[in-house]
Amino acid sequence: MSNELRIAVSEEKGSTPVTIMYVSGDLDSKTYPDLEAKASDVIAGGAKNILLDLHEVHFMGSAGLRAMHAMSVKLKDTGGQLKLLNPSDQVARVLKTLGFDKFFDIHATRDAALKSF
Amino acid sequence: MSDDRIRVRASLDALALVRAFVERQATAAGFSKDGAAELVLAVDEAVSNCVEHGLRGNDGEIEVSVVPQRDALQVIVRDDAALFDPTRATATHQDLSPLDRAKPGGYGIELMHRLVDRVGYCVTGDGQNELTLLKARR
Repeated sequence: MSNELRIAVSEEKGSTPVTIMYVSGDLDSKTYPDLEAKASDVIAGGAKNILLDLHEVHFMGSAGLRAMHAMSVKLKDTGGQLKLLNPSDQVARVLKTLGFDKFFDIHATRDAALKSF
Repeated sequence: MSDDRIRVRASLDALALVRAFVERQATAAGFSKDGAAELVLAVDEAVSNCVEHGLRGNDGEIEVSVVPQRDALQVIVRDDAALFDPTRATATHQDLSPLDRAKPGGYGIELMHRLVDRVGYCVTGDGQNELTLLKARR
C-alpha cells in the first residue's frame, strides 16, 4: 500500500559544498509537489549542487521524473548541478525506459558522487 | 464488487490503492516481479493522467478491471473524464538531450506505451473513456 514520501536534507561541506536530499517512499503524481517544494526551499537557501539519494524510493512514476527534471533545470540556471545516487529499481526503470539514464549523472556510491561535483 | 475489478474515486489519493490492486492481480497471473512492476507503472500513469488532466479536480469515478488471457493480462481503465485518446497522442520526447528542454513534463503517456505490449482506446456506449492495456507474461 501507500508509502508516505519522506525527504531529509543534509549538507556536505567540502571544497565543493553539496546538499544531499534523501528521498524515501512513493514518489507519484500525488507526492511529487512535495519534492519540488523541498527542492525550491533548498535552492532558495543557496544550494547549488544537489545529490538526490533515491535508494529507498519504493515507487516512482513519471511525475517523479518531472520533479527531478525541474530541479535539474533550476540548478543549471544557477550554475549548479543535480546528480542522482543509487536509484532503486523502481526509479531506474523510469529513467531507463524514457532514456533519462543517459542524461542524468548517476552514481552508485556516496563517495563517488560527492567527488564528482 | 468482484475480485477482478476496483472502483475508486477519481483522486490522486486512490493511486496507491490502484497500484496495490494491479500488483496483486499481476502476481496472481504469474508475472515476474519486473513484469508486474511495469504493468503497475503503466496503469498508474493511465489513472494519474485521467485524474490530473481529464477530470481536473471534478468528482468522478475510475474503474480498473483485469481480464486474464492465456499468456497476458489485459487491464481496462474506464472513467468519466473528458474524452481523450492517448493512442493518438504524439511522442514529444525524441530530443537528444531531454534535460535541455526548458519545460519538464509530459512523460506519462510515453512511459505507458513503452511498458505494455498494446494500448487500445474506445468510447463506451455510455460515453466513457475505455483504455485497454495488454501486457504479455514473459
